[in-house]
Amino acid sequence: MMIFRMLIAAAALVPLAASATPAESALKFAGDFIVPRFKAVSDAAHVQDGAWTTFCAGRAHGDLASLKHAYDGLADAWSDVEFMRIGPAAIEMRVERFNWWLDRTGATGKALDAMMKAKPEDLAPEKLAAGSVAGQGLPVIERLLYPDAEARKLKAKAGAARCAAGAAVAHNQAIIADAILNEWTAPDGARAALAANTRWKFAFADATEAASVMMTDLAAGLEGLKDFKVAMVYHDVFNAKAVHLAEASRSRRSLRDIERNLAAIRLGLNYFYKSDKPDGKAEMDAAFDDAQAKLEDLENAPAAGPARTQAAQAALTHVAILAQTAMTKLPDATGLTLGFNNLDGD
Amino acid sequence: MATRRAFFGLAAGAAALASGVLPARAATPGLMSAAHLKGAEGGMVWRDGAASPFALPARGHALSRFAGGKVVVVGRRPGLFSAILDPARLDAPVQAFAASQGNRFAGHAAVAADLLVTGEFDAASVRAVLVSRDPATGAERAKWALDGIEPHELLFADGRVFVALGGLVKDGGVAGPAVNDGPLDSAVVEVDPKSGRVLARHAAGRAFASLSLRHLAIAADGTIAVAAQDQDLSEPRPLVGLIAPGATLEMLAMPREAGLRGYVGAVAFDAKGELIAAASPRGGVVGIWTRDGWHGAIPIADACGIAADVQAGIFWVSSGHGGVYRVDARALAILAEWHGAPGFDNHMIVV
Repeated sequence: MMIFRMLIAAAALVPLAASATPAESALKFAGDFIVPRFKAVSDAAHVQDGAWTTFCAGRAHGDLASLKHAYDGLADAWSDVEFMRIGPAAIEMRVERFNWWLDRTGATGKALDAMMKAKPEDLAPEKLAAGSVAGQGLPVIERLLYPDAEARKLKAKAGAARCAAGAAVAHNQAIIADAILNEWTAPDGARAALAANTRWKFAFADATEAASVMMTDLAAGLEGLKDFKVAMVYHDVFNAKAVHLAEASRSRRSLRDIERNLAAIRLGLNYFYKSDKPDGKAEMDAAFDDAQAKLEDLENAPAAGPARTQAAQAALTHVAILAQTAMTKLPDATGLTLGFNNLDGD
Repeated sequence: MATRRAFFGLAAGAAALASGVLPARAATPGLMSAAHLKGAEGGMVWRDGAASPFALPARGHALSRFAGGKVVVVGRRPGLFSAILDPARLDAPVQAFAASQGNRFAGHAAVAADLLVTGEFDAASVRAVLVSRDPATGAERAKWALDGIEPHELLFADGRVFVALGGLVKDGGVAGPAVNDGPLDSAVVEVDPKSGRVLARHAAGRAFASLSLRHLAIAADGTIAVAAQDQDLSEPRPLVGLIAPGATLEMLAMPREAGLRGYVGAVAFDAKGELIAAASPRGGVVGIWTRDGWHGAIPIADACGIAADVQAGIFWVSSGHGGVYRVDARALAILAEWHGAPGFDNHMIVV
């Protein structure tokens, strides 16, 4: 949890929005948080794209570690911002295409099998973009690299098709990442719309509404953390023989992704707390601390057995408390309306 | 497009909402929705330009209007309460009633001349239950188990109750992924409201086995629109279909770029029954279909509540961020919008 603690320390550096209006907070958050983080995703995606291109040009002597390193770099960068779905990330299913999981039906494996049998022209970015979201993102790369036996197949004689699929997906991810970043930073992009306090596509009517949408994304990020991430870790611990459902379980990144999500959301919320409502922030910080502590306990628990099950359950419980605290405390602590149709729908 | 303006004078608590008003000259029908405001549960009514709040004991979800003007607000899944109230007399006590023994409300009810039915589910098994109630008091008259789980929206048509069985198994609250093993068993069933007998069943078919059929709307000719939520986003699938009188469910085409992100939270026909609007708060769009297929999308963040205006092609839309919009579905344009502080829940009706 060293990373988590470093990120939390960074969170303390963000000043509370003493007298900032919601519109000002939204613009600052976009400039200081969203855009730099999607820039990091774009950079990491290009590193991964290049790593696959280099590897596939000389597979037999290629460096598998370079692919894993690039995958980790991109997964880290994505974890730091994936919950910010406002605007460009939500268009064209980009979020889902970049990292679709909770794969109950083996869709990722099926998509990868299809890609390995495909003609080269069928792996072109526009063809991938029109296909299954399960075949376009990090889970495909992970399947090609983990466990180690899978990665070694890339170097085998019959590994060309696997390499072509990996390179295509890596290139596709760079394109998606660039699209998100460009639509945030273009002269007619989302950031410019915030600065002009005007509408940007379907994302927000003006900067004030954007602040509410941003905070809803952060709160929804906590809900997602509970329901789609920590709950699935608990599922895998509790049902050891079942198909694993946790995000990035093959690469054993599940808890790492969770801790980065948690730290980033905590940091992000600091842009919206009102300084004259310190109690709400204090309650949120306490809930974050509890959730973090339980996740640390889970990380340090034995690899299997009742103690790990108990630790996973405690982590889920405290992340659930955090998510519930966010639902009830954030509106008053930030002065913003939570858009709960998107958040919890029915 | 109208200039953004505040129509709720938000200070703190529901009482402050009453001081905020829609512009008196705005040609608005009476609109009503459950809403959430700074920790307070309740709802809002707009009548003659004034915004009036009402309180509820817990979070409400959908509303249905009786012919006499009263409205039943149903507790959000897994709800323990529902309430009958008069939107013209919000200061009068509400007539609250509980879910049937062992049941929870699923957020929706259907009303007819002398009938009120609520969709409920067994708290332990999630099995669907249809409960017939006294429309004046909500008192239980009869209840029948339906062949399916997790009922959601229901409505009366041609003397029958059409019930959308969502088929989702969820852990506790409404958020989070379904935990079903394998495909969903979701369908729209037609039920005899006097006997509880299932008369017909409409499913979307094997190709759409990941769709949870959840929301319904009816046109004057008896055609029913069915809106779905997709539990598998790996492939794009249509989300809105039609059941013509005496026919089976036919899903309407929807392009991949529609932007609904596999989720519809409410559906409505326009006044002429020619256009269908389906709101996707997750996509931030209101999708518009003709009866032949996709027409286009109107972007509105966190849009969900939809109600038809008396004018053909015009809808009212509410958002979880406190927005109310008047939209032209044919032109795919927002004609006017107002913004306030309440977070509107998923459904809105004309009162």
